[in-house]
Amino acid sequence: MLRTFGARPGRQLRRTFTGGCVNKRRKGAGSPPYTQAVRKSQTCDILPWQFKTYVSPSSRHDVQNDLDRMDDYGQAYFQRQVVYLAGTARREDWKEPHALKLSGFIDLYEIRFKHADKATRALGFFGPEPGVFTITLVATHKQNVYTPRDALATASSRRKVICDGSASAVPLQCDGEDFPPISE
Amino acid sequence: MEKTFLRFRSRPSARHAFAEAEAATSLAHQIRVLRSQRGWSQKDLARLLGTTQAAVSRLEDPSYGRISFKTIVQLARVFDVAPTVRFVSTVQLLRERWSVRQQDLEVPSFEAEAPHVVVLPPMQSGASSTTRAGFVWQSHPVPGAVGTPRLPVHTMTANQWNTARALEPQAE
Repeated sequence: MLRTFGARPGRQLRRTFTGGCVNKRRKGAGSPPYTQAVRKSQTCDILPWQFKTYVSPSSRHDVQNDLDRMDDYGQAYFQRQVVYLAGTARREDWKEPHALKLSGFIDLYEIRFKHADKATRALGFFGPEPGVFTITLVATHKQNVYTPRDALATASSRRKVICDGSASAVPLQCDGEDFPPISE
Repeated sequence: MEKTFLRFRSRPSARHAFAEAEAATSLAHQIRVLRSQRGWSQKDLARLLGTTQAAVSRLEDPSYGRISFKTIVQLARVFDVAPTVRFVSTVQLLRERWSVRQQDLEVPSFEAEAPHVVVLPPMQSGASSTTRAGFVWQSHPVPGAVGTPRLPVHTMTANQWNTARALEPQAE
């Protein structure tokens, strides 16, 4: 039974379960396990980023297919870059030469890696859910020119259709398994 | 990981690509992490290495792929850490590096770690795997600390340590 120590029952309950200030006189007395859980969540490690790929309104997995078509070296360099960026918790640390926030577009980033001796970019954005980076297009980049030429506009428009629910995103796969794996 | 392992079994090029990409990417990211851990900009690191900011940017780029052993040794000296270059099995690499956390890449400098290390004389009996070259080393983790130590310096004396160990049940 929850003891109220003179406070109104409803108010005491609300205070306790929103993690708000607790009366010092009864600190630790009768605290529900929920409080401990909140405390624990404030001290645990930051979870790694999860990665998703764009699925068109007609259910085409273009991005995943492009990634799967790369040779072994392209796939390996992409996957290792993803693994290390997944552990890079702060967006501000997603910087060159590993990644870059692209100017002129809302929340559009590129992951940089090489494939077949070409600078290759996985374009995407943080979202639609918290803790997720969604790749919307894979392009090559040479002397400030993207191939396909409309890569940035396409990536940005795909972001919009994912955010408005017209298109969707599914977890990035490596050899048919979600990637990167969630650390224990 | 199982399907990737099976792919490695059937395609040598896949496992060679993984090993190459992991070596290049982990080294590049660790240089960035160690630099950030110390609060240095690329320009700061370039000054310490006696090179340019553009050269440091290349060292942090996994695509560069031409970092020399000499540069690794120079970097280790500047970061005040030790480089280890060794060969491991591809299976070990796959197991250990399938997923990586940023804190796995952080390394304290010797100066930051040293206050947390005690070197104790060898125990009378019960030598364990912690005993090396006749001494017991004990080091506290120093998460992210470079300058000011975050943990108190260990104050247990050699006698207290030996007493504590003597009270532990001895392995057969």
